[in-house]
Amino acid sequence: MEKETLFNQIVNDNHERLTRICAYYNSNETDRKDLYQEILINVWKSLESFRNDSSINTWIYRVAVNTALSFRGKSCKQMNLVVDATTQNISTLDDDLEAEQQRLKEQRLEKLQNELNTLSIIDKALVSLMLEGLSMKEISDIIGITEPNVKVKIHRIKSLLKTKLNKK
Amino acid sequence: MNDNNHNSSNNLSNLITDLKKKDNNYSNVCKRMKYVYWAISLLYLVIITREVFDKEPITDIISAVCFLGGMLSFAWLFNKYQNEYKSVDYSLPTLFMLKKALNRYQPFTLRTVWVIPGVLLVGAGLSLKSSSFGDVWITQLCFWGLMLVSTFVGWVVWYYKYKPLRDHTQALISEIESTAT
Repeated sequence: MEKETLFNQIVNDNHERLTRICAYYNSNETDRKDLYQEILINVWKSLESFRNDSSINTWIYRVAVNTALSFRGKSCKQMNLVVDATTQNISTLDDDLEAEQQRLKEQRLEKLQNELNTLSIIDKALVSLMLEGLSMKEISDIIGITEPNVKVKIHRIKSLLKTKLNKK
Repeated sequence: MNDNNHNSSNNLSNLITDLKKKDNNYSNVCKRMKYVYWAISLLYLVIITREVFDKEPITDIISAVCFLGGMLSFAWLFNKYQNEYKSVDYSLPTLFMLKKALNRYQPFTLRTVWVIPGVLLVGAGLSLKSSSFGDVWITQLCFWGLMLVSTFVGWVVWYYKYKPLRDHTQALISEIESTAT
């Protein structure tokens, strides 16, 4: 398939997924657009390495996460993870969330949002992949560490978040 | 809805044009430098052939051969850099991509060693061209002084442009690896 056709197909098929990832990292509309643009540039650059036999999910998330990590060098440390009640798989981060009363839900989400933004950029990347509903195996393929290490890391993040949320 | 789709496909088409330009820009800089060195090499080949036929002093011929070697070495280096830049791949696992980036952002790596033969050959060529012993010293002093200044300028550019990227990449690698232990 021609490079241009393949690029169009990948971008069209993954438009929503990429928009969601950009939203995790930026609350500002302009920054989201810039990151989206940067991801598309890197999708184009990396197309040579895409083989139809490999999972497009893993491939596109790798490009997106790697771009987010290298986006604007130093300032990516200031990126904010943006979550709200509509964020898919949000309950995977906070097991107690579904049991909470509706009126406490928003309040707790706000706290969760604040705590998420105190995480390191790597932890934020892991959380964004979790929110996308990816399996531990897929996350380990994207980040390049073993599955047990991903589990340990995510367990630590969840415990940390739980402790902080319950403390307040 | 149709308008949205139309705008979106126009944007995509503009982006593809930009991407193609960007791809070409980066590789063209290295490509042009490579061609410049090949052209100079060709020129030295002609000079060497003429000097051999004109039975010029052997030192002049060896000097031209040294220059030719230096130019070919630089042409080969630019070819290497061009290929290296083209192979930047964001679809690699994050840790692996970061390690490759860290290597690219280091000021002195193993690949820097490949500059040395070219520089030495040009230095030798300049010495052989000098007419007296005193001349050799002045030529060498100027040549290595220039190399030192160039290295310092290169280091300053690296310090302000690439060191922050190198440090940031190093910090991300340490963080990923620390979680993996």
